[in-house]
Amino acid sequence: MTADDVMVRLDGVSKSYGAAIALTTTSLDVRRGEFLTLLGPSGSGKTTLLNLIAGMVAPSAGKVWIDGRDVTTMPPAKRNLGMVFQNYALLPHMTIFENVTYPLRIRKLGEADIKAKVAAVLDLVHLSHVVDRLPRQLSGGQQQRVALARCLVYDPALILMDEPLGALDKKLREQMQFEIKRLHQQLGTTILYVTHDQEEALSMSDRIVLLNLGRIVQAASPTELYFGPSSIFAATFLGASNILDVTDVAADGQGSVGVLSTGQRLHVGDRLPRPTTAKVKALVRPESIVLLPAGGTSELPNQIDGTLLLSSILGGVIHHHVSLADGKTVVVQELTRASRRLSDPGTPVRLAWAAEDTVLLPDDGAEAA
Amino acid sequence: MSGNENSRLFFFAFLLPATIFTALVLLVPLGSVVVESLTNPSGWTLAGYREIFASRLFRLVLVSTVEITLISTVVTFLIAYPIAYHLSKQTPRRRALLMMLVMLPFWTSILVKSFAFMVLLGRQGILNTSLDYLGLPGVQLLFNRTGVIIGTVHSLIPFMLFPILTSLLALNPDLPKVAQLMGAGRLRIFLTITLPLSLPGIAAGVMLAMVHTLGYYVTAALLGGKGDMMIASLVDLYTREILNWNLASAISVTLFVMCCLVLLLFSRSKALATVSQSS
Amino acid sequence: MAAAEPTIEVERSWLSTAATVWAWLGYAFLILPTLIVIPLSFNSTTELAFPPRSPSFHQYRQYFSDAGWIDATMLSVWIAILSAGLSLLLGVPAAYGLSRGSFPGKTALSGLLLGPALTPVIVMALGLYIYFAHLGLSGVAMPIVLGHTLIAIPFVIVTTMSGMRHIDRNLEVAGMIMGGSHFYVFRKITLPLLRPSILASGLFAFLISFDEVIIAFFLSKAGNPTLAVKIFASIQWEISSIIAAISTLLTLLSLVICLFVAALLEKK
Repeated sequence: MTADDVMVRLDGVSKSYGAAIALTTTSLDVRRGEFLTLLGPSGSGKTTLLNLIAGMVAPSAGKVWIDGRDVTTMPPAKRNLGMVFQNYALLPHMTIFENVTYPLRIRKLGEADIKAKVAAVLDLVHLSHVVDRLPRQLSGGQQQRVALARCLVYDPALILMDEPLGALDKKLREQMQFEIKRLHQQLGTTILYVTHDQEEALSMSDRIVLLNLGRIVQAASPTELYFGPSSIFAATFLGASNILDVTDVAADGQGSVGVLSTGQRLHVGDRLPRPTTAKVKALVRPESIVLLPAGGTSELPNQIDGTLLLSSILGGVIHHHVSLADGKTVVVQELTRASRRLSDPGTPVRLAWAAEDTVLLPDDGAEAA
Repeated sequence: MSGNENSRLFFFAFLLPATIFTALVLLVPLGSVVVESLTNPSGWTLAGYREIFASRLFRLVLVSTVEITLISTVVTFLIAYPIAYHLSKQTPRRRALLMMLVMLPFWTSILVKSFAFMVLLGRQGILNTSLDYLGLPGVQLLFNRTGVIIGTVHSLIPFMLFPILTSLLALNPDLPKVAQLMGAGRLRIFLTITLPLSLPGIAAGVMLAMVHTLGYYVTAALLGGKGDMMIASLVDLYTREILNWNLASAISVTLFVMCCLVLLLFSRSKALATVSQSS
Repeated sequence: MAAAEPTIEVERSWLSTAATVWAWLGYAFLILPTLIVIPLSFNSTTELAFPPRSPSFHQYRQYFSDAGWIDATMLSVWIAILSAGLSLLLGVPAAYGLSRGSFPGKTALSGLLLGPALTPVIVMALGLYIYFAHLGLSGVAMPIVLGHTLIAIPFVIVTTMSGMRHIDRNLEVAGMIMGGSHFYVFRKITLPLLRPSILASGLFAFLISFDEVIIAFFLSKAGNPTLAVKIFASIQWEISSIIAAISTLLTLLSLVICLFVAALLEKK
């Protein structure tokens, strides 16, 4: 990234409140026009990071740059940012029109200019018809779109979104995710999105910054993060996962590495670099495993025998819970077909998967997500 | 649970003792006053009302009562709102501590407070002695309108403060935040967001202050001069000295109606809901 | 690390400083008159000198040795205890009914019960005076207790209702599912949880009655005034330092109750 490309730079930034560390020393660059998501559980530091960029708090150490300016101690009002909140934060005593013109009046724009900009931005979010209503007369989704419009109307350098869809129900949330992504593609504004919902992060982001316990665990694109997590936490936080114990990591001539605790050899592809820790665990995503009857054959190199505990149909997918010789349970995901007959619990089965679907993760004793 | 017939009866039964009590101790005596105001040794008549409305004394007292009420309410607002605003910006711990400065006067007897002002404001009082000591001219703040206003305002501040504080604390904290991010300065945020949204609280506070002051007696009696009589003092005069219950009752009913008018005036503005919230 | 931790620049304006100063002046205005009586009470003579010339507990001794004052105080204490008790007995169930029940006319009913808080005291005092005079019962303590209970009930209801808000409804539902009747649930589950609010309401009701002057003034017997009435009468004749001593004791009572209630309600 060239210096011009960088919209937000956090340089060695940390935040502690007395003895409690909210954010450990962190550096991060946000590219201009990027849709970056800060993802993590509560207490991971994502809200602190957002507040540092917004200017609600100053860092305990380090510097914050926005659009080339050092804003470390600059108050929020001067940073030219937009923000969307979970509770929409629309001014309840003003009409939609007055809400959206609020930032423009602060900037002392002329009446004609204001009218034009408001009309344009409400048109963008398809809410031109509610211009004279009060916020309480609108649905949650509509209110959030107005909040978005209010951000966009004054063309800020960066838009922050703090779990904006948390108050909406699932269907609406999906619609809004689509809306926000569409607007992002249309306008090219830099967006910093905070959420704890990994599906949301995966579907909307250009890049995800995964946080846990005040530090960045991994920062990568959704596909990189999903198919190549670099830690047990990342593997288990994003998407479903099966984590298997590996007892011996020595490589052998056949390109396999490791022995599972059930005794089988583990075949790993060379798509990803090997972890450097002494001990490792293996990740296999449920959708990568094929369920075969006992003694079934397959070209896939990784094969383990187990006993079927339970199969449940979850609509579009079926989850098979399989118990292995070492007592661990593995989940296998398969697409539903009307003709699929499920086997009874207790049936012996064989699991198979490809070498490149095995991901080795460092075993440093850290907790799974 | 509360939709069930049994439940309804139960909860209603719990309210019965208090309702009966209030009906007997509030409504019946109020009824007596109304009846008394309409009866006269010669039977049912409006003569009592005619007499007091024709009375110059009554009209003067009515005017001074309304004046004192309005002035006190405005002055109280000017002092109570900044304190409420200051309190709303504190951390809960500090707020609880500072609230003691409001709670203690609120729960102190009106006699003690009036006595304190008599001592502070009198000609030989502490204020004047200090001014004297500094070589400044003395001020006449007792036994006149100013003394009454000072004493009344002092008692009213908590009444106005509580509802205003309630509505300030109910303000969505993200609203000033988002305004800041949009570039608004503190004054703009206050004028366009905080003040308008605290209006219900202000209305409730003003309503409470006015209703209280209209019925005030002790403060005016102790701190006021001859021109500062309030309606309540008149009721006392007619009851215990002139011994004319008919006129005393007529004056009381008038006072009660005035209070009802104030309540009616504010009933639209959600003030009543805010009042019951703010305790 | 030698560097100081950075802070966000705050918009300093003379207006916000002025507003803060004004608020502090407001606090001072509120608290100083309440506190001023304390030093005055230590005057040895009836004259109110500030600061007191030869401080002593003389006025307090005068108060405690004066039968007139002590009788008035005892009467006030009795009336206050009875009023507080009665207002709790009536107000707490009413608060429970209002916060948990829903039936037609609930708003009207709560308006009636809270009405005394918005009615001028003098009107209620006159009403009671006339009413009891017609009954031939003028100058007995009972009318005063009734009057004080009436004005205390709104406070009890509001304080108790705010305590009710903190009680999880599900606790009561669970109790009923396990077989308890409404009354049993109230007695065994709600009431114990309500104890801090009830105690607080009771103390406030006591204070309201103890300090109340107008109703007592109208309904007192000539030679048997309550403490408040006696103070009122005394102040109108002359202001002396014994009043300062009594005022200090009253303020102390208010302070103790305030602090106690604050501690009680903080525990929640």
